[in-house]
Amino acid sequence: MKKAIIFALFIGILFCLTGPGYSADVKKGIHVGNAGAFTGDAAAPCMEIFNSAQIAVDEWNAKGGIQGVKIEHVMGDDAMDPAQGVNVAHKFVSDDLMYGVVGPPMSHIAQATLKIYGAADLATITTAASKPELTEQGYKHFFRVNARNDAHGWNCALFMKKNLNAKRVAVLNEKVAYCENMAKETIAGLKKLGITDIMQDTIVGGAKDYSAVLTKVKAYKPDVLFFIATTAPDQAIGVRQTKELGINTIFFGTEGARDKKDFIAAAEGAAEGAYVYHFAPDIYAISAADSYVKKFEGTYGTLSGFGPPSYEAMNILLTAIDQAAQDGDITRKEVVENLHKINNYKGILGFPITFDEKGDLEGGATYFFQVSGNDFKQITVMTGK
Amino acid sequence: MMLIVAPHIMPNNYWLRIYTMSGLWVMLALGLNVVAGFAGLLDLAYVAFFGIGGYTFALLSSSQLNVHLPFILVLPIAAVFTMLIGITLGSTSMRLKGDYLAIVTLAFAQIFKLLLLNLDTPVNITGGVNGIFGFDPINFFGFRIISSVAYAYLIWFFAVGVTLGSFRIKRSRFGRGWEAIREDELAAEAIGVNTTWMKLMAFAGGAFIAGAAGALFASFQDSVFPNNFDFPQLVIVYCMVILGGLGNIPGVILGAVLLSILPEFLREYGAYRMMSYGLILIVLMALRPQGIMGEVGFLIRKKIRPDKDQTGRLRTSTELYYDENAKPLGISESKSQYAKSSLAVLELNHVTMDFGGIKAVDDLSLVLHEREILSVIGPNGAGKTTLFNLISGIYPPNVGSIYFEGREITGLKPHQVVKAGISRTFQNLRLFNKMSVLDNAKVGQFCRTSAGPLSILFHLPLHTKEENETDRKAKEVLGLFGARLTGYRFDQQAGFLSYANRRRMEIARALSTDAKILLLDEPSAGMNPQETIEITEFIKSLRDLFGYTILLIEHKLNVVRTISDRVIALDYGIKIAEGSYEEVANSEKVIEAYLGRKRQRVFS
Amino acid sequence: MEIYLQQLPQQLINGLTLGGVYALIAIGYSMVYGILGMLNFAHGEVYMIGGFAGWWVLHLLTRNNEVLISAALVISLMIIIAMAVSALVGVVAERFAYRPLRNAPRMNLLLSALGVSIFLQNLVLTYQGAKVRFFHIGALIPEGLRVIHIGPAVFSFMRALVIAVTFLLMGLLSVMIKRTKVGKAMRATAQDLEAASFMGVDVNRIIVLVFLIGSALGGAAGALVGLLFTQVDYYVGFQAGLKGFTAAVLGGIGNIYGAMLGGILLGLAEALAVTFLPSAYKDVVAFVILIVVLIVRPWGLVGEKMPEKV
Repeated sequence: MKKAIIFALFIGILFCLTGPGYSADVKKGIHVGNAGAFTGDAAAPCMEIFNSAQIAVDEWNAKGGIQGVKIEHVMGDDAMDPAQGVNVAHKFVSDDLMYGVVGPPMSHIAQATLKIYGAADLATITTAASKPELTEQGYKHFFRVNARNDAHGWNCALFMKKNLNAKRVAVLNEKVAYCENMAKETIAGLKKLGITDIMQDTIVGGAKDYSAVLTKVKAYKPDVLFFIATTAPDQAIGVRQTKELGINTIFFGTEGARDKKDFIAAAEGAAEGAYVYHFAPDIYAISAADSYVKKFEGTYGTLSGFGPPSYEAMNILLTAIDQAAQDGDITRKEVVENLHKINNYKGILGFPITFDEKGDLEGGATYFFQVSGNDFKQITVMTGK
Repeated sequence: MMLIVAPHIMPNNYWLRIYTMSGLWVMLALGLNVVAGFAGLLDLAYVAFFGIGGYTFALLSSSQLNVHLPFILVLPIAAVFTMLIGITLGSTSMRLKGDYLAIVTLAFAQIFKLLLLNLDTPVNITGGVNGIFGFDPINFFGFRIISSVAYAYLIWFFAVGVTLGSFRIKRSRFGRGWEAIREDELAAEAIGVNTTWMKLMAFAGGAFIAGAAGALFASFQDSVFPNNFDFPQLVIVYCMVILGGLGNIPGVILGAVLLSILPEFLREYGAYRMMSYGLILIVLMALRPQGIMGEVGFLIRKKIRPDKDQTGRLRTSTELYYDENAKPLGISESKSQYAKSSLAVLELNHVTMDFGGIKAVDDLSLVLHEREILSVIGPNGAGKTTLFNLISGIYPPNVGSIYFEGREITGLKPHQVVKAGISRTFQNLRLFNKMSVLDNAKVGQFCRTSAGPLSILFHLPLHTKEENETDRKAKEVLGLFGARLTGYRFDQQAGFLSYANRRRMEIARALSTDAKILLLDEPSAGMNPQETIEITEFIKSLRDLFGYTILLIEHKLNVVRTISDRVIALDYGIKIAEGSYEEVANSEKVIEAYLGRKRQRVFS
Repeated sequence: MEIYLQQLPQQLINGLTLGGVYALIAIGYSMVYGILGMLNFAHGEVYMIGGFAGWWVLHLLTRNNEVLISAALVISLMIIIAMAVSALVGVVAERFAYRPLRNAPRMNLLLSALGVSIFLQNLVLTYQGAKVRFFHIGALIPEGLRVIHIGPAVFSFMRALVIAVTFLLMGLLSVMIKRTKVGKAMRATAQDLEAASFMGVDVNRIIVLVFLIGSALGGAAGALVGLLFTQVDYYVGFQAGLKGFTAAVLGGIGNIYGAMLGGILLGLAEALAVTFLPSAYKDVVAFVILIVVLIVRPWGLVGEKMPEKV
């Protein structure tokens, strides 16, 4: 019994080893969070998100921070596990100096944590979670700088019909929320446009070998292969093996594929003529993004599509915090309100950012590119019509 | 009390959540402890059971299938359904041993995860990668559980329940049965533990707890996703259980709490955190293989000298824990006649055991009479131990039949043979080394008791009565060996006994099954002359005073000569001689078997 | 039906290549299990490190898409260095994580292996980053040689190479185990570690050797997969490890011929599963086969049934 009491006390003490104070004074410090899967098999894109946000934070700090206070960028690793994602959310929420969060980039974790951030009025700006329902649940704190799947899906279907003259389409998608929902929206769009010869199957992301499922595609003889995977390297394997197997079809990749090194160069010529879409114009063609791109590539290596929106999101978030801090103190509510007031923010993405009342981008468009030589050539922009 | 106050003194919701989650982890870890800790089964499907519970709740309590059952119904449904799946998986894979069980269960867990991911087409059941979210709030008779504090209470209520249940089950026939299986499965079976059934019970118990925890978790998170029930979670629960020490309940709880708090301090370090986990695991396994608590427990125990009682008084070894009213040394009243009879209790008819061409026992027939000591002699490899294995059911004979008291026991499982009334010892000592002397003896009573999990968990009269009886019987049997196995030695681990005492312990364990026939496999092997004389006397007294019928394998011929009523000699599985000791010892064939041809009067 | 038949030749090629890779990984699992009765969870990471070593060699020897020395030499160097690095990792893991636990319960050993796996994976993540590394094999093989058409099927040069090297290494291994003195000592140790040590076999040396060979083959597989599928990242070990392990068990763990057969069967089963079912179910098929085989023949397809000693 005695042992049991000591044991219980010990556990109790473990729990009590914590507890910061309460205050909203700017001088206490400013924390911004970054939630994502920084370990596990999605670490590559998530670390790019974190590092890009870090560049933004460093730039602000170099300029003197906010009201002379240095900003602290806190990592919250959820390892892709929603239960840990909820832990991270609670951790950020209970940090009184935390005024905003970039992330979570995955739709399922965004869903699991929506309630917690919402209850605390803590602003979150996701850079990749594209599931439409996320902004349909009435939460004010949730923003995204990426477009929703339903918009992209429809635009991609339109593009395949109008520009690629598709009559027979094969859709391959990775089994993660983003790709799965993208496939669903696109197929719905294709059907609406009267294209019914559709084959759908899955690929296992990161498996490095898609030849079995591509052989199946070959037998189907589609005009267009819409290859929905999260990262550029996976798409590079896709396009490479499509070529290797001699499949006579147009390869159409997703956002992640707009990556010169990890897609075009990695495919070693196989990507020539392939199409990809993206929610923003080519980052290398935007002069405002030059310094960011240089900083990122100088420190962390090649840049794929996940970094720029994160840099943008962090800058927007810090702008909102900065405005809230003008009077010497900050509340989370102010930050959320300021984010809603963001109007035509001109950053590095190449289009002005305004959030609608749900937290979605206003007037999001889909940009289509074709690989030509060692570069992407913009073909057209679709805005849903 | 600590638990009641805790939710209110948590500094913020974050720590309240960690607190609640650690309750959930405690529950999960204790559930795994039943399977992996108590019964020693490497169950890698455990995380799938957790998921089955979670998804059962999700499907029965949300708009996914438009089923909205109340929580008070869904929780038991989830737990029982998971248990049924556990039993199904267990019964198909139970004949696999050790690592193979691990592999099959791992494959099952992988299949489960893939099904979760893919069963959203053609009919949307699991929600696929998007999971299921938005559940009905828990409603207990109008009392709604929504707030974080309410969840903290709810989950810790179940965690404490599982803890109490774990303690109770550990100190019961189930706990002892599992521990015996973990130590030595074959010996457990041969001493009357229905190992298949018990392993299935462990599987079911673990699955039941995991299912309930899954339902609670789903409700707490208000959503379920395939990633919630994946390999990393399995690794975490295993780490908790093994760090705490397999089977050690306080240790497992500490492990669960530590591992649910520790990561929170390291969340900002990403890969470094995982790296240090890996290192900690390696170092800990090398330095503290028995887990953190295992070591602490060992230190505490060391301070109490085994030969002193609680007050520090030196315990005399003759101080036996006898129940005043218990009949001294009386094993069974029906055996109180000491005269030999000619009633055949055990009959073997033309039994043959063929190991792929080698006939270890060949067309052997023998009869064992009531209260008789029959010795089996023969050179090494003659088939003596195989004979024991045949009688005790470890091998079913290829040909022939075995009758016990007129009833056919051919093909029965070892534990059924023990229950019928035949128990055995092992030549190469197969005690449950890490169990106490008293518990070793108590395991023998397993087949004589019948309390089920409910009796044990709620301490129903059946359980209490049987426990008292088991305790009395075990002490009685050990009492036969006087100071050797009683007094402070009751609590000593069997593995720490001296060699001769372990031999005695083997016999005591066989006696504690209330058997009528004892099969003793070289009981005096390795004993010095003095000990040999003593054990010979003891075996004799088992027949003379208590009326046991004994089949004895013995190499020491002076022992055989002293106590045998009859002797048979085996060579190459064939009975080459039978009769009194003199007859057998002087048989040409026997002498030949031992020494080759043309030798006279070796035995005198 | 026709749509299935016309895929078949290609799918067999796909399955055979993948199966060869699985077999190479499976051998490492099987050898270690045969001797220590231990599932070396870290083997997948050893394979991953082999992949990185191969990439590193190729990277060092490539300038502006031109290899500095002959392509054949580069490929051999890649495989050899990958084998050496992986072997080193395997041996070091054995020395520091497994040897201290030689007499500990199985579960501890399993957990220690898991620790090694987590450690190695995150070590690579820390020092190599999460980025995928690309094998620019364009520099190694001229465009015209990359693909060979055989009827309706397509066979790439790299696939042929992988299959050839796989069978070469497996052949060498069987000769070594069957014909040499060390091989005999290995087989003896696998049967009974204690008895072998009484007969004068230096058991520690044999165990080190087993880790060395098993890990080297894993490393070779890593480099070959790099050449074949052109990418490696820090997370490839998990999936590959799981598959290699499944293959080893399928064939009969502890038996290297079983591992070879299991690997190739698994590869073929997956390719065929994709042909006839939604490809999301290919792993389900693989694991169902595993469960069925284990329940019907727990000792695997090739392994031998051992009666338990009493």
